[in-house]
Amino acid sequence: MNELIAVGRIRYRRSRAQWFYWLKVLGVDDQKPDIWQSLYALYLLAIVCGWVVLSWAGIVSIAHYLGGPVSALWLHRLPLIFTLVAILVVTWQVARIPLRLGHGDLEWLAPSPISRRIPVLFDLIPKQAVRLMMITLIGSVLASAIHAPQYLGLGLLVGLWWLAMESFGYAASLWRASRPRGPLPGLWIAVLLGLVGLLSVLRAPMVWPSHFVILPLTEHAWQTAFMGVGAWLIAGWLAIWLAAPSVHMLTIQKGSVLYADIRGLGTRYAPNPGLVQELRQKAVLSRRRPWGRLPEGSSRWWELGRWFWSMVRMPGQILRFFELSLFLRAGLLLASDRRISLAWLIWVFVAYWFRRASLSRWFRTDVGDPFIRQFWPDTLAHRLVWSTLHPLLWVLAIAVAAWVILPAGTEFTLTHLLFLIGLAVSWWLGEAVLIIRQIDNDGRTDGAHLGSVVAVGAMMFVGAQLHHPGAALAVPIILLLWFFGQWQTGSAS
Amino acid sequence: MDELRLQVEDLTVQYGAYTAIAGLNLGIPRGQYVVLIGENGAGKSSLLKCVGGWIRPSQGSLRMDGQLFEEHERALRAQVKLVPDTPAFYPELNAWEHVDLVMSAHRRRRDEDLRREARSWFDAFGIDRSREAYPSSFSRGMQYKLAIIMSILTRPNVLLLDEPYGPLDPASQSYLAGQLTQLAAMGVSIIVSTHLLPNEHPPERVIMLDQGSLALDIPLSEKWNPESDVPLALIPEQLLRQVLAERRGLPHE
Repeated sequence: MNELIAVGRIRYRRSRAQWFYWLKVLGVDDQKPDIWQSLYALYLLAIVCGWVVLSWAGIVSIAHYLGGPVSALWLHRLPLIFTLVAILVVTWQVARIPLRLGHGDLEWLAPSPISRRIPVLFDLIPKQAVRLMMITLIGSVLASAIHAPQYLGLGLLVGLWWLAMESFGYAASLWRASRPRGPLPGLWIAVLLGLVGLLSVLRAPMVWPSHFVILPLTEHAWQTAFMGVGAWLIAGWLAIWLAAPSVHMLTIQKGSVLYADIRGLGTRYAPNPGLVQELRQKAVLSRRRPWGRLPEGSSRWWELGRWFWSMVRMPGQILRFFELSLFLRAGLLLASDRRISLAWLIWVFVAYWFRRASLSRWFRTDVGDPFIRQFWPDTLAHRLVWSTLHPLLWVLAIAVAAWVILPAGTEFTLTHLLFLIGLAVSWWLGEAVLIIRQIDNDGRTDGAHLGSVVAVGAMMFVGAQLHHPGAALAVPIILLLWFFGQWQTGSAS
Repeated sequence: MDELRLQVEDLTVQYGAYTAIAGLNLGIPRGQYVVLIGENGAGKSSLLKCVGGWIRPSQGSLRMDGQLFEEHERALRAQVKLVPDTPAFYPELNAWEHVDLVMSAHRRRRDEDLRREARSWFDAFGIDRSREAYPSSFSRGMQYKLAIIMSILTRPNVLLLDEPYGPLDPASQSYLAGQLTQLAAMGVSIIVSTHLLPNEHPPERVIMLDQGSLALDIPLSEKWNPESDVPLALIPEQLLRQVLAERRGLPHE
């Protein structure tokens, strides 16, 4: 019991610190707790709750308006759909490490003789509480869309059903992590195939928990439905309770390191997803053997080889450049179509969230850290060109190829080609301008993606306002002139 | 030997309201191996970063071989290498490729002597078998060794090491100290910020900072000689205690 209280106190303090951070951001002074600060915090909480409820109610109304009653055919298919979703939920949970610990817990809690059930309990309760709330909200929107009676009740039923399925997956995952030699690899494939096989043999609906989710729609049997789902949920929790003591903490420690590092970023996590991406990338790379060798030859060949092998070793980059190429092409289509004059605003909004497709990734690694930067004798402008030329050409080549190959396109004119090149150059130089300026000022290179968004946004704006993509070329030309100045003077050292 | 490689004139470094270095004056001759000691927050790392060109001084100036740093920043920066206490690496390049990068960036990829020297460093530091591994999988000591190798291979005129001996094993500490002595003999000026000294290969000079100011600047021979009963490793701690006690009017044994 003492152990439970001790761990509970730590978790409470951690959550409290996180809440306090956000409250502080919103103006609550945690250094001087008094009645007015508490009232202000409650006032903020009420606003957030009100905002969530009103947004949810609005979405439910829209879903009801857009949807319609579910047909008999779909009603017949629903149990199978729910069962397939359940199989995916269980498999997804089995494939993951069940329990993830942060730093502190990793170093002190995991090696201690404390009952394994306690960290499992404190991991499961908040996770399932959040999941229940989310699935209930989403489920009620879907229930409203099919004009189900008591859509909130049906949402709650779906939420509980989801928790039951997740609990079984969690229990299996705990069992998987109980092997002293490490988790059983590929167990999730066996679980997936096993459950699909079982589904093909046992088609009787009563056997599967998904049957209970459909009961309110087919027979209005709410009580039976809740009792059935509740029974499955309790069975799932029981399975976790039984599996928890056998979990091998070394497996949990090994699987939690990345999670702990990300959590360790604390409140920097939210505004800086780039850091998280970097941590994930490092973790993936450190598990692999480096493929290939950098080429012998001149420095420029070395540069090309570095870029090539980086792509091979981090194949996710190829996908990102492919995405960026298609995204630029979408920009070209929007700029060419005069009927959709404001659609470019949505495109720019997407561009803001599209930070992972950075053309300056290699440049940032070359100059972002002063230790690495001191090995490059080039000026910043030279380094920018040599470290980003290959990705820029790659993106342009795919964008042009996609333009020619994909069916929905615009006519292939010199103006349009220049516009596409201009978009790519603006995306590239917009970010580079900010990086170079930041390095000259304080050495930081984060947040430079905004430069890309502003540059391509300006291009799209000018193109839309002047009704001609050619006019938008003023933006990349200005950026190129600025860059040419940097190249000439070499001032950015 | 007396030719000044590095001149620090009235150097001040401020971070907001905090003054890390206050009006420091120093001269480091060509080919001198200097040890920089001081308490936490004394300004050692700030001084190294300033000399390495990683941060700009708030006031004062730096000269290398008589040339003002701010006027010839790029050219002079290429002659200085600083190894910080936690160096960064490329996530997608293995250890040997980092050496390749250094040689490539300095247009010396085909220099077989340099390549041989790199191999001997890997061998002497005991990381030869990890040449093909990513530095992110290395321990802190191994990462520091790689950073030192990368820096030395660029043939800098000034080498700055921030706490180099702490992460290293005793054998590597002695090897590094021996190599630093040799590099100094070849004309490289070396400043090492440390609280630890291996018992062999003593530095020539000890500089101590206290709250951003110069507290001590003497040849090591004034306080220690090879015949002394006191091991060299204890000298930084002894000096630190003694000078701080004198400056703050505290009793000292």
